[in-house]
Amino acid sequence: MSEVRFIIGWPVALLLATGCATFPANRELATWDRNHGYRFENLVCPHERCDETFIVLSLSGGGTRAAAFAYGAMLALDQQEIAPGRTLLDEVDVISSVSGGSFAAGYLGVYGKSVFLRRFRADVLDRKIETALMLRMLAPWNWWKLASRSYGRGDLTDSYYDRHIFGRRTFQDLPRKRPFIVLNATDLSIGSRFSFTQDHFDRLCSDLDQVSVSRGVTASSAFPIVFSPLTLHNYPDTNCSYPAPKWTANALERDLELNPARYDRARAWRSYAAETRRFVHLSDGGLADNIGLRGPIEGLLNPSSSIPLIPLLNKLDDADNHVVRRVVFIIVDARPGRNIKADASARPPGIVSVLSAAATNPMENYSSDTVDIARNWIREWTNQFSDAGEEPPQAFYRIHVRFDAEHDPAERQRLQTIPTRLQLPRPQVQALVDAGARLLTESHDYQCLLSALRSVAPLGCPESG
Amino acid sequence: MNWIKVLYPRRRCVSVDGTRLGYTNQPLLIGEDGTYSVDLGEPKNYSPQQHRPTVSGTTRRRPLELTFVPDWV
Repeated sequence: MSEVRFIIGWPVALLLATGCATFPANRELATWDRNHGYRFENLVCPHERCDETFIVLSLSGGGTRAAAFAYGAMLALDQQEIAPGRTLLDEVDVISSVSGGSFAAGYLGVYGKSVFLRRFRADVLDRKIETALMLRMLAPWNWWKLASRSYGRGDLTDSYYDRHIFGRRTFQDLPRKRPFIVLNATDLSIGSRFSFTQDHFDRLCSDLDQVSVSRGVTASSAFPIVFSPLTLHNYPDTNCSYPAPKWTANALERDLELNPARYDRARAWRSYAAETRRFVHLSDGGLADNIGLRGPIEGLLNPSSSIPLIPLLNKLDDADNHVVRRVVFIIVDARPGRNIKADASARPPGIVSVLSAAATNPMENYSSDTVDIARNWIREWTNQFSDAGEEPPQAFYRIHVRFDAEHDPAERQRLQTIPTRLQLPRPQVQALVDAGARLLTESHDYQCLLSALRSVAPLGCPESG
Repeated sequence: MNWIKVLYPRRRCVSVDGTRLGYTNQPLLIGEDGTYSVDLGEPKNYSPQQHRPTVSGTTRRRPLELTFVPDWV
């Protein structure tokens, strides 16, 4: 009898275990409230003149290479004191990140600056993440979970990050002060950027505050094929009183011919209201934007954006002076060099090389276009004021930190060939941290910013496109 | 990049698509080409209650001008 129980019991236990494994559900939002949740306007300014220099830091993808490069640049920002007890890193208002860069953004958001500066290196950069994940994948007790239809490798990865890196913190635990941390993933079905902000979760009638920060980082860095996409619940039937934004109604009704990109964004925004979209599947943010700059750029195009740059640029104080005097975009871009090894041979590249090129080349080309959009916007801004015979009320600084700026060809080659991995040898991590700090500090545009902050204006500054 | 100037006899907040954009009687950056809902928020003591222009090709020197008239006029 006991043998029969044993024989029947195992498959039943297996089925139960498989059936139980599911991704952590994001909860419904009971009632939509503009004053609730993790959004820019709900974060306080750390000091009275915090808008005077408005800094947007965008952190690119690229695994640990990107995280270490970002960390180095952020160390350098923290070494630049701009007022007693206040550094440029304290002055950052928005951090918009994708993939590897999201580890740095998420960690800073969860633990704050002092722990970030002290422990990020040991907790993330020197951690053997790939080994740990591989061991979890190979552990038989995880096979049951992975056999479930609603639990994938991405979820297993998320549980590891949640426990070992982000301390099970949720978005509710993020301090309601700047910097505004924007972790960007990609909605696989519609190919659009999906940010872990309450504005984006409003569309799902879901409460971001109950979601773990690790889930945002994991979705943002879920490189296709290697990691399975992460799933969120969408609640299109829920009456959470979320009003569809007016800009989407205007764009859908009238802007198809005039501005197709705006129309497409509106259509993507509204797509979550479809009753057939019960779930949303998220993958690496790099698929929609591999340098984390598209969100901030949207802030320059749409006054209703989650990063409200247009209202800030128009903002006046009581004496009718513009509150924002400087807008700084620091783009920390850890893109690798082009791999031309295959061109030494007549033999066509193998399937792995072709798949890798297909996955990464469009991202990198798109990144260049994204930076160009920012540059052209700034140029037009300057021209418009010049045409009106006015001095622009704001100076723009576009600081693009990238390996190509490295003067030493050998060091440049070394940096550009560091692979996209989730663990790297310590000497490579050190080289990346050093490079992030050095290349930011050596940047001409960064030096221009520092001169402006010291009220010294050297030639050729600020950014004029 | 487009600009509007909302004309009104007094200084009031200008709201675009429900977001506070700036003040009346000065050029305001509004953003990309497109259609926007522009009003002066509460109290609704002006007419029309809303402008809904399609904005394109404007500049800071030549912004699109939108006029609201107070009910007390």
